[in-house]
This record gives sequence, C-alpha cells and structure tokens, in this order.
Amino acid sequence: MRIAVTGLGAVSGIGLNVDENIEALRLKRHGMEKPRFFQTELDVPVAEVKKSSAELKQLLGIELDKTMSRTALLGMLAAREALTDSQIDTKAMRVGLISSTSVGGMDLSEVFYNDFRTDHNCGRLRMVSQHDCGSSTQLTAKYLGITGFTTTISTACSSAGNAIMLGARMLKHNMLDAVVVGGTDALCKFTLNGFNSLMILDKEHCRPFDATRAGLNLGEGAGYIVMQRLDDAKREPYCLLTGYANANDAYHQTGCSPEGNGAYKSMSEALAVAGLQPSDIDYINVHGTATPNNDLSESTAIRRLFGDRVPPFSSVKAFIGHTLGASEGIEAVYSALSVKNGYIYPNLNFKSVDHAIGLSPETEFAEGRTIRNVLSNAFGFGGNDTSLIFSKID
Amino acid sequence: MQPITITKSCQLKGDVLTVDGCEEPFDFKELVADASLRRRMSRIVKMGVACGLKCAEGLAPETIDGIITATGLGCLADTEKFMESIVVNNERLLNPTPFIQSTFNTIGGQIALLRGIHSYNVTYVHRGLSFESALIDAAMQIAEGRRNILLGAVDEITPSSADIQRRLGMTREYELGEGANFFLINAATPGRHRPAVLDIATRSGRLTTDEMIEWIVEITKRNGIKTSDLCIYTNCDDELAKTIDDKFEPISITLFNYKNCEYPTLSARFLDSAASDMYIIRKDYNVLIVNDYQHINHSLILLGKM
Repeated sequence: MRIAVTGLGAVSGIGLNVDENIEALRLKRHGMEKPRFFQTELDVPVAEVKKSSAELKQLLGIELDKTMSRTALLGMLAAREALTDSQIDTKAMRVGLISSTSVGGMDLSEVFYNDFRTDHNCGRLRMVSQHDCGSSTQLTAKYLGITGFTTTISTACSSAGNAIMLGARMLKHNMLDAVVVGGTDALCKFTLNGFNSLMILDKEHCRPFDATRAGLNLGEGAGYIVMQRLDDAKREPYCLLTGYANANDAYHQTGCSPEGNGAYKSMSEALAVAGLQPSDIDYINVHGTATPNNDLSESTAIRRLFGDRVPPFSSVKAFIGHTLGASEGIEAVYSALSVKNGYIYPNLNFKSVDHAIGLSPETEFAEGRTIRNVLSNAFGFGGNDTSLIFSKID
Repeated sequence: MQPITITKSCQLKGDVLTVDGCEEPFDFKELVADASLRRRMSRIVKMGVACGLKCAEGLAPETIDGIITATGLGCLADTEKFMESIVVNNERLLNPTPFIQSTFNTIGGQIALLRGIHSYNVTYVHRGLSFESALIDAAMQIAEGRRNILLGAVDEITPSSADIQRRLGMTREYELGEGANFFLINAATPGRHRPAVLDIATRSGRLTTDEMIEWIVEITKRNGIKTSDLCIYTNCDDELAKTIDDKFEPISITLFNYKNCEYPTLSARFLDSAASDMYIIRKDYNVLIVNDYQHINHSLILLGKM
C-alpha cells in the first residue's frame, strides 16, 4: 500500500505559508532576529514568526478576546493550509489529526505562573487551561472540523517525525482514510532558558556543520502534511512517504553517541521499510542543529551508512532555527517539495569544513534536480531518533 | 484490530508495587544503581522508571521491540522547578537538570538508556486519551510483527497542579490521584491464560447516556459478544452505571469510585485491575472497560481470552 502526501502547510520565522517559506529559502533570507514578541533577558537570536498572536488570530478569523496559546494559533494556521491544499472533504471520510508539540501552551502558562507562584489563588485560569500538550491539538481539530482519531505525541525535537510515522501506519492499518500530521511549537522562556542552561545556544547566528559551529538557535512555527492512500488521492500528490523509523540512541538523556548509533539505526530501518538502498537517496535534509555534538554524531552515522558516497545534504536550521516539536513538520513540507520540484536547500553560514566531519553541505538553492528520494532526520532528547523517506511517484 | 496479549501487568501506587495484581517488594536502589542518577530523578520519573524496569525484568534488551509511554500532564514537578528558577534567577545560571527531566518522553528515554534498548520509543500526551493512544500504537506494533512491547502510563500530582485543578472546578466530582502502570504486550496466541485486548475505541467531547449505550452496543456487536456476558469496569457516574446495569444486565459492574481518584491516564489502572482479575480467576469471560475522563474523554477497551 502506498502512502501519498496530498497537502502541505507551514509557518515559520521565514514565512506564514508554504510559498513564503520556499521563496525565503530560494533567496537565502533567514528569519533570525532578536526576540520581538516575547520578553527575555537572554541576548540570543531566534527565528520568531513575524506576527503577534493578535495578528495570527486575525489571520485565522478568531476573536481577539479569545485566549489561545501561540502554539495552538501556529498549529491552526499551518494545519488549515495543509488541509485546504489536500482538497479532502472532512465529512466524507475518516480524517484524523496527529499533532505534536514539545511544550504545549507554555507561552501562556509562563504568564499565569508569574502571578500564581507567590499566591496559588492568583493567576488567570484561562492562561493555564491550555498548558497540556493535547490542548493545541484539540483546538486545531475543532477549528478544522476534524472529528476522527485525534492524538498528540511529544518526544522532544523528533515529535513531528513520530506523528508523521504514526499517521502513515494508521493509514496502512486502514484505521483512517486521510490524516493531518505534523507539529507546532511557540517560542517561550522555558525552552529558550532550557537550551541556554545546557549551554548549547549560540549567541551568534548558528552555523550547521561549519568548523566554527557553537550551538543552535531556537525558532518557532508549525508544519503539517496531509497523507492518504495513493488510490484515494483526489489531487495529484506531491510525493509518497515510503520510509519511516524511530530508534533509540540509548546513550545519554540529551547528548548523542559518538558513533551515532540511534541515527544509524533509524536511517537504516527507514530505508528497509521503503525497500531502498543508500544509493537511492538523492538528498538528505539533515537534523543539523549546529551543536558540535549533533552535527558530528549525525555525520558519523551518515558516513557509516553511505560510505564515501554521501548524497547532497543540508540543514535548514540557520533559516528557521530549531523549531523543536514542529521541526520535522516544517521540514517534511520542505522535503516533499524537494522531491516534487527537485529543490535542494542551502545550508547557510557554512564556510569551513570541520575535519572531524569531513563533509560539506550544499550551500546554494537548486531546483529541477532529479531527486528520487529524500531522507529527512529529526533527533530529540531521550535519544529519540526518527528518519523519514519521501519518494517520487514512479 | 488484531488482538494482543497482556503478558505482565505492573502497577506502582504510592510505595506499593504489584505484578499481575500481587504485591511484590522492590528496592529502587537495586533497579537504578547509580546514586547520582537517582538523585536527579523526580518522583514521577522514579515511579515510571521503577514500574517500567520491573515490567521489563528478565527480558534481554534486544528482545524489546518498543517502549510506548503515555502521560496526560508529564513531569509537572520538574516543569515547575525550572519555571521557578527562571523567575528567581532572572534567566541566569540555571541548573539544566529539571529542564532535561521535564521532557515528556523522559521516562521512556530513561528506561531505554538504563537497559540499552535501541528500539521504537514514543510518548503520547493527549489528555484523558493518552494511554488509549499508546495502547492503539502497541496493538499496531504487534500486528506489524514486533515481539515484546513495553506499554506504560504515568501521571503525578503536585501541590500546584492540585490547586489549579481545584480552581478549574475539576475536583468537584473527583479527588485527584496519580500512579504508574506498565504492561508487557505480545501477540495473542490461543490457549494462554493471559487476557487479551480485543478492541479499543475512543471519543472526545460530551456524550449523552444514549450515545454511550449505543457505542457500547456497537463495540460488542462488531466483536460478536453479548453485553450480558460482560464484566464491566468503569469510572462513569452513578446514573450511567445504573443505565448500563439495567439495559445490559452484565455479569458484574466494578465501579471505580470516581470520587476516589482521577488522573488523565487512570484507564491504565483499570486495565491493570481487569487484566489481573482475569489472570487470577482463570475463567473465560469478557471485560469491557468504560472510561469517562472528566466527561470529556471516553474510551472502551474490550478484553477476552483467546
């Protein structure tokens, strides 16, 4: 059974929809700036979505006085775009929503907590009632009129990859006819300070795979794709989702093993699920966070799998930052378009080869390349490694 | 769905650990030998890790093909601890430990790390249906040919979350609770005395009594089971319980007094209770778990023997 990608939706620091995202990638226009919409003492660049929450509500036709976490708003915007794009009728078939997020409605909870911490009778309750991860998913399902199976996954930075994987499996098990899958995360003090406390935030613009890379930049956004069984697709699909796998590095709660064991396993198993050989992969959308540890470990795993024939690869993290629970949602959209239009995205800020890595990513935007299969990686805390493969329809 | 067997059911509630319904002594220091690692673990992580490791005991790591966990609210104490440190220290020089441990997949990740389990590892965080989502995934994994799946559910209550839930009016009908459950899931094979999960259904939003009744009829019908042959385990309110009793005349109704205990993944505890009873009683009968979480999230879990 073949799983087709029939709808795409993305919002990130470089655009409010898929077209704006691709245009920015084409023009090498990144979204990294000092934070505008949320207050922080930390002096680091972030890739914020360039609209206030009030502006996002206007775009969505939601009343301004309605309390909505930014995570939910971003999710609705991208999921709506994907669903509209797919042209599926949510009433005519079993349509599900599988979303993911790393911190849910934390952007509101932080406001609540400021009043609550000294007096538990203080703090406006509507600011905390969207704290849980399931909240943004339920709000999005309601907004889109999705009444089928709905759930939420949270495995840190690989969350959306796992949501996409579950969606594909549920289609194969004939539990759904169509599924909106992806993830959403808004910037908040909690995660920014979390990554800062781990000393893996770069105060400068991040430089994935570069010898001078010194950490990641955070971003926010949401990305969703719609998947259906190929025979059910109403419109011409972008591509197929042929491979997926999740594996565990089981090395450290936050760090990656030097051998990249988990990454090697997730990539190999995804190839096996797709029935492909390493030589069938024409482009890798790497996780590439720009931390010294991730990029070295990931490239070690890539070398182990591809030997001396490593396909073109790049990280988009210098454009959109690390969007955590949303990252593989957004990057799945980019990957699907890479297959469809032969796009290769530039890895910004790469200047010098790290000799420990010995690999150079693609640094220019390309289109019209023959790309049969794209491998896309997302790795998270808890050693959680997910790989997806998007393929051309032959 | 393809039926799955519950080969082992572990529960940690307070300090009491049960395996298939029978109390078993355990020493957390033996389960997690590293003292500094133990110190870093918050209560929920300890609960989940202890329960999960007990459930995985005796299994070689390479034979465990998946760790699937569920939590409604995750590691609340660590979350609050890190939030507090952000405010108090004005975003400077923070200890990363509570941030790391606040991640929703901490328990699944820690079990993988401690036992060297490199397989599939996913965490569901969908309110009152987190555990059901994990159960559905586990059943799909088995149908896809995986052998041993560790399926867990963990939630903790903290003073702050209790105060918030009280103010939200969630404790008008309920007392708040917490707990950890882990199940070892395998393919269902005939002739074993272990209970099997035959079907799962979930719904969100308020349901009328009539809708609940119709739904129960639907799930039993499609599995060819008479409602009068069921033992029902439920946390639904008295009115619905009475209607179920009058309408279906089941063998028995076990009412989990909803006034005693409530948390998002409580249905895992119902499954432990029903599965342990089925294992101990060793008679052939069917069980239907009717879960009504806060009148918003509902699930039906049908059990039987192969």
